[in-house]
Amino acid sequence: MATLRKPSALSDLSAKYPASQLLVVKLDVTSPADIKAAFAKAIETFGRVDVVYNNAGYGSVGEIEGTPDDVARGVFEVNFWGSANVARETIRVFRDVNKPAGGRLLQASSMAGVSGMPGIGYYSARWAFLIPSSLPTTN
Amino acid sequence: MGIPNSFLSSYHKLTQSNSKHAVEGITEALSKEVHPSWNIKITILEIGGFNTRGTTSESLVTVPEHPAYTAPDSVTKFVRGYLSGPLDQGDAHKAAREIRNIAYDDTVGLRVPLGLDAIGMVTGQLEAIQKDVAAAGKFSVDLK
Repeated sequence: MATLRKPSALSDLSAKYPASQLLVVKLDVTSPADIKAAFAKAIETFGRVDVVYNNAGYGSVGEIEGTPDDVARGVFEVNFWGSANVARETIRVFRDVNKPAGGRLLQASSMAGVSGMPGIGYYSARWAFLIPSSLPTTN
Repeated sequence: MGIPNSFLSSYHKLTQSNSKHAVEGITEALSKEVHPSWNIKITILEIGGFNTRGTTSESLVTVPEHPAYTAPDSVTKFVRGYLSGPLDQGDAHKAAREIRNIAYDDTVGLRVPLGLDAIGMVTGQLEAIQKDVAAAGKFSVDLK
């Protein structure tokens, strides 16, 4: 299952693979309702969720002093709050829905999450696309 | 987002709060909160620079340059130029391959730096923190 804001961006892959192999679901990680619905769809279709790759994010470039609050907060809304809300729902599903309980959560951070990098102070993740957005997958 | 280590090595002390620090912090805490009986394994991927849509103008929000940061040797000026030029970063398809491998490898630790640039940066950061901690010890010898 692949989740992303604009499912049409994966139309080449969804044309190639049936929904039983690749289920594409719209998900904006800033929407808690979208997050709940995406997990519900995965459970309805596959019965459980084994691996979640929580990858949605984007970056802003500029001096920290020169970055307007709305730009900085926009980055945090996706990169922090979106990521945290997906992680919380992931843990709930792994524990309470999966029978037997368990699962693997991969949280996409960045080398800039370890060492503060100038010019991208509020920043974050660079590839919202290749493995699109947070991606509940199943075996 | 890859920036040459040779350039960044002298800037490791510029540890500014950012959204990915926040992700690292909450994820580490979460990994300690989950009960072992739930059979949940959490991994933080500290991803280096890879060629993706993320560094294109479509995805990367660039704000106007602050007037105090226009010196030719300004680090933020360098970063702006670097990110707007053609980037020679890692192959995202190969990174995706390894991320899938990581997902099914139970032997990895809480953190997995991915890419030689990421491994270099994390190593540099560890060394910088070790140095700072060693220098800070003298303030804490008699505080009880």
